[in-house]
Amino acid sequence: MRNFNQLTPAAKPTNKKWVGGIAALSVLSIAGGFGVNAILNPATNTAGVSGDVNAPQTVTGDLIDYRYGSVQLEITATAGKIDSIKEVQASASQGYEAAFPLLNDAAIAAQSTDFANLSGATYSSEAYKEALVSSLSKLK
Amino acid sequence: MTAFDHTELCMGTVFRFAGRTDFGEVETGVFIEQACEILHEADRTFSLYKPESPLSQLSRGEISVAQCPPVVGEIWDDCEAWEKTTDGWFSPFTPQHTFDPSGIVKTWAAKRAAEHLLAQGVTDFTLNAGGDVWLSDELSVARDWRIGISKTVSIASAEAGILTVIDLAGTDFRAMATSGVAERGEHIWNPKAAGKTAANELLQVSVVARDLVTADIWATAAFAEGKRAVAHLNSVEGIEALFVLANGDLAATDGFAALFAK
Repeated sequence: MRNFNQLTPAAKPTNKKWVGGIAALSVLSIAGGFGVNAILNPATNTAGVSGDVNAPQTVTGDLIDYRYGSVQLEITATAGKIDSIKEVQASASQGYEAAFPLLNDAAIAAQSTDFANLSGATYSSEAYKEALVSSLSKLK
Repeated sequence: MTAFDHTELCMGTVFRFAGRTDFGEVETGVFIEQACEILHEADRTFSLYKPESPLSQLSRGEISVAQCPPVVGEIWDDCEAWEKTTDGWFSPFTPQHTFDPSGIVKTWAAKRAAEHLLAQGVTDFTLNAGGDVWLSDELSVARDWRIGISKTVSIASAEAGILTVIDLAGTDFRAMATSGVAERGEHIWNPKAAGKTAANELLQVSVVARDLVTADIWATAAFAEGKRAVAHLNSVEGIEALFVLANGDLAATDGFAALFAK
């Protein structure tokens, strides 16, 4: 059994990479927009709405607080696939700075975030429709 | 080749069949319509939101299981078997002591709908049953093998996004189910606690298995069990799971890390 990120300040170094893991996962939500669009807005519908989907897009995320500090990333993606992730600013509580390069690695390692289905708690048809509308509006 | 992507509203959620087949569009449409009818038939039988459904009548004590369509007894038996398998962490009996198999009906019906398509010869598709995902064996597109896991917020919220992505290509897993508080709040009871209040130690549990119902049941059971489910599910053959604990930390079974998309 492996308990990711159950870290105390005296965390075991072998577990430390998963600090990067959770941070990456929470920050991935910025990139997640692309993936979520992919599922909620199937490819057959995107062409008419988004113009040139193959042009690289750069998005600067909000400054996000996470468990051990805060981070802001700039993500460039082409056709929903992440090309690069840059830290605009980042801070971490003492002892966790080393997490950041790993955070980027983890995010880039998971860059094939292009997926066909989204698994989550059972959503209502209303929530699904709202999500569809909001992902469409983000593309415009 | 016909590519299809059909969305069906049923059971208050959304089912999506998407894939490819050599059948023509009309024929494919008929097969999908039949598959959807399986979902609607299950809804008519089991919905507790429809006062006239056999299950609502059963719940009010107006009829017995024997007077229900045979499928109700079948589900009852399935639920009892799962209650044993999960050491009691999955239970169809509500805190009010009524029979509520809602936790199994959606994926049970979805599995039958998928099997109907397979039986017709449609073999290259995915089925998303309101956030629980099933993959056929013969998926021809790499992307179809990858499943995003939603963050622990509603897909309709401004913060919606993905927690991570897994890739089931090359594994024996064909299904992923996720249970959590993101969409409908606290709707899972703890069969073992006084008053059956769930532990609230987890925000979300995602389980992969070979079979959709298996994934769904274990996700529900783990959610009810709370943190101790991490060790519990780690000891169960044929499943892997990713947990989001109440403080946002992640935990997983030993084999889960190998499933992250690369």
